[in-house]
Amino acid sequence: MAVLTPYGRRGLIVGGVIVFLGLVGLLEAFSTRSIINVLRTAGGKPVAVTLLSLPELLALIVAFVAVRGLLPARPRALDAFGAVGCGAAASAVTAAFVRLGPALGAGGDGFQLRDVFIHATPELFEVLGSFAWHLPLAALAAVAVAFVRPDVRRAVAAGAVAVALVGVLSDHVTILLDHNGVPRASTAWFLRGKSLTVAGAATLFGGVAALRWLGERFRPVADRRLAARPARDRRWLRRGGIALAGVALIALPRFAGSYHSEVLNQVGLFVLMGLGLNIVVGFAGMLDLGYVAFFALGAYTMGVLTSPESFLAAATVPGGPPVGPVGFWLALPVCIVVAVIAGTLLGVPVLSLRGDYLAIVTLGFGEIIRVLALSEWLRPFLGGSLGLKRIPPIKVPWLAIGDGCAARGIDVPLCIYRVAIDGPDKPQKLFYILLAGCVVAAFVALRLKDSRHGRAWMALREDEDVAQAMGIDLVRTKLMAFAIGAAFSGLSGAIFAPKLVSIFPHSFNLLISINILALIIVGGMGSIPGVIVGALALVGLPELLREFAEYRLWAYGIVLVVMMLYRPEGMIPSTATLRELRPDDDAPPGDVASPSPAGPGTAVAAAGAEARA
Amino acid sequence: MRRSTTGEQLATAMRWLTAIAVVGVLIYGPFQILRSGKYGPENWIAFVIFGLSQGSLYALIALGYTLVYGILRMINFAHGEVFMSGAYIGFFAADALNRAGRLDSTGGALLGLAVITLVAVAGSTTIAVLLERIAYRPLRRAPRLVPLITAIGASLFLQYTFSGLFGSGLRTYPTIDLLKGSFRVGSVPILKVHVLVFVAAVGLMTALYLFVQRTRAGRAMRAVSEDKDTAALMGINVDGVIVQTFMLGGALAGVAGVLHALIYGQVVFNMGFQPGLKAFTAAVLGGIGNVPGAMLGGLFLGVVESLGPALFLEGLGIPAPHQLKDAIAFSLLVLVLVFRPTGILGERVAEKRA
Repeated sequence: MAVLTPYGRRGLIVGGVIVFLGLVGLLEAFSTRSIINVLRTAGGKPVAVTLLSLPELLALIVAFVAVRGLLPARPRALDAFGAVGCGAAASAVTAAFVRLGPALGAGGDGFQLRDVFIHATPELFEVLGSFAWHLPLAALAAVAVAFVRPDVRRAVAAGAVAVALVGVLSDHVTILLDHNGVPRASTAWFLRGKSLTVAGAATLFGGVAALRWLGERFRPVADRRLAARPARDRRWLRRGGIALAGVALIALPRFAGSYHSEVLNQVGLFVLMGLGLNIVVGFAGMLDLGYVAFFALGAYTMGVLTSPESFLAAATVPGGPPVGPVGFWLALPVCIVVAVIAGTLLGVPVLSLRGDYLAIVTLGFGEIIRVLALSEWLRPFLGGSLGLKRIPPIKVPWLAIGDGCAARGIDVPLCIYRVAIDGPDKPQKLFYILLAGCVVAAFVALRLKDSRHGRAWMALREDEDVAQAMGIDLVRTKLMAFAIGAAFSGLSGAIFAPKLVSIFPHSFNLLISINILALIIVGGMGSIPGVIVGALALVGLPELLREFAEYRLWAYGIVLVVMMLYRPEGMIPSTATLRELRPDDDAPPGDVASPSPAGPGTAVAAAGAEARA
Repeated sequence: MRRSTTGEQLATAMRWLTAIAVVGVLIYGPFQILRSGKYGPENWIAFVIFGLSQGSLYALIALGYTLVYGILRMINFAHGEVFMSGAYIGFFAADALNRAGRLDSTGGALLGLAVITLVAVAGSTTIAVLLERIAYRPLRRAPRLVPLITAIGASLFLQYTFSGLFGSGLRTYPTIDLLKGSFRVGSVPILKVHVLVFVAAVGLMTALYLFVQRTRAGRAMRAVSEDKDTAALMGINVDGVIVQTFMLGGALAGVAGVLHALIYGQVVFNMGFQPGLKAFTAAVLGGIGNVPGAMLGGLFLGVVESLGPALFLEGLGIPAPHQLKDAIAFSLLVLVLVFRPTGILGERVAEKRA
């Protein structure tokens, strides 16, 4: 009997967590989205009814994870019974809340539960009631999963993730399909309204699971075949892969449409900044929380140099309207130089500071810049709280042949004219600018990583004193990290300004710094592909799920804590970080700002590695 | 002694330049404003009083930072949220009492304040202990970066949990008649709330100091902050001491929260961020790990923040200098860390073992 108490306790906790998620308002917000729907007839007409809603999925996941954590590797009948009991306990708590909640609200002298917990609404009780008794199913699933082979388990997980993602994002999928001229009738079996059909979900699940399983099964074979071929073939294969990826990226805006290109642009801006912060935090190990300051400097410099409203603007024609002093391309190097200088200047006072102090001081710098941008004192230069407006669009010289020239009234068959990144397809055009910026930044970061400077940074990250003893000039190395990081951020800001046309100080707050930090951590500190994955997950996904914007930072908080507790190396860790986490390595006890933990994280990672093997 | 590198020379040159600039501002600014006579002595005294009151709040919160840093060598970034939770939870008690009409009489108001404070302290302490258990304890041996990031995550989580549960709007504390009005000292009016805040803060800080210096539990705390492992060998329950430290810090922050709400009259989910940051500045100012240092640092920061815009910046002809109040506070932090990293009263953390 005592064996069952942990299950019971866990069940009560799960129930509490689900009620908590409801009271925070997450479940109610999620109730607008569903994953799978079915057709039922109501009054003679077929009506789409939700089979699996997003809140239910979330609750099931919570229950699943909780039970799985408690089950031993080989569950016996008693454990299965306990698991179901756990699910039942969770359901009981949820159902009790649904039953009692409204009653509490009707209490005397006008006290309502809603006065305290603003989301304790009838809608919430309805949502909770709709799945309260489904939780034991998740517990059973957890038991079932324990009996399945690890590779099948991974395949099933991949399938489930795919169904969940596509289900949640099904309206975006519909928009993309429409934009590319796929007739609705042909996809009706797969997608209906804002979610998947049962057939669609089953197909997606089966397809993705099969692909994952097959991929895993044949990966060693493919690797062996590849290793057997001469190095020259491998090089060509890799070049082909890169070329293919390049073509795909270039074709992307055409298939994505305006809205999704805009989402990609946001991701691109954050990838650019992430690559910069990756150098400061990931390579050099210095936690910079004021990174948004350089972004602001880049944007404001661009604004001051190009906007006709800036204090530097002057009329080119006497008596005519003022025009910004220079164009985008002349202002761009100035922005980067300003950012670099600022990075160096801001780096000097923090040279001797340790991890935590460094973080707080850089945070202070970020706030100082924001306060200055907002201030009355600098309003004549920076526009104060009204910001800088009317920043002109980027103009790119474009080579055209034949018809394009004729359309512009030029008789010559080959001409160069300037395309303004503006108008209804501005996002698609801007995508290429950002793509170019990201490629340059990634290239620079990659080359730096393998250079003497990169190795100096990593030495710095591991142990400052030893690095100095080895002859590395600490001051120069640190300042260089700051300067280059600032340059990337300044570049991002310089592109951000004409993208938004008007910039305000409120856009440059601490939350952006935290956002970038979060995406580096989730993606993997020190890893360049990690930055891209992190940006897609932490910037792209929230952009697609705009209606949950309220809970975005809340989700970031949870993600940061969970990642640090269970997977501090991130999703795609760099080889250096991964090497440090191998169980046979004796990592030194926690010293300077190394991104790998030597304690519980190592044990968890080791256990994970063993379980995967 | 080896020759300094170019980088180090650059850093030293910049340090000298900054020092000269700062001293210049510190002399020229006050000279100008005092000469112009825009503010009379009552104004300056009012600035100082407000600064002391605000500084008392910073000091109470700073004590939480300094205690935790002394023991765990980590900045509890989420401490500002502990402060906020105290204020917010206290609000519910205050609101309930107010609706029941218990705050109207003098005796009722006193009792009511006590109840509000107790409830707030209970809430903030719970949050602090939960933080330690869930977010910090598993990461005790991890390198510096990891718990710091966890703390940032916890801070975000707490802020938006409160926003989600209780709404993102302002919640207004009921006004308590007992605390309205001001005393007169000479020709200077001093608001009653400011006196309350200052007296309460000083009283609590003294109590804390005595606790840490004179009691067994306090001695255990000092031992653990000196060397965790040796303290464990001496039979001290290290985990228990750490929990106690968080509880103390949390309690003080809770009281600070109620006091803050009494002065400003309202609570909102993100009210903890700025004070948390400033309080950390205060802790560093006074010397991290140093209890009297945190108190002095807090008061000093409060006064500088209050006097600074008028005394230094306005003399330089900067319009609307009070907007730059935060910039002054952070600049102070940077200056202290550049020129006197151990703080005014000196650091009191044991040397890091290799």
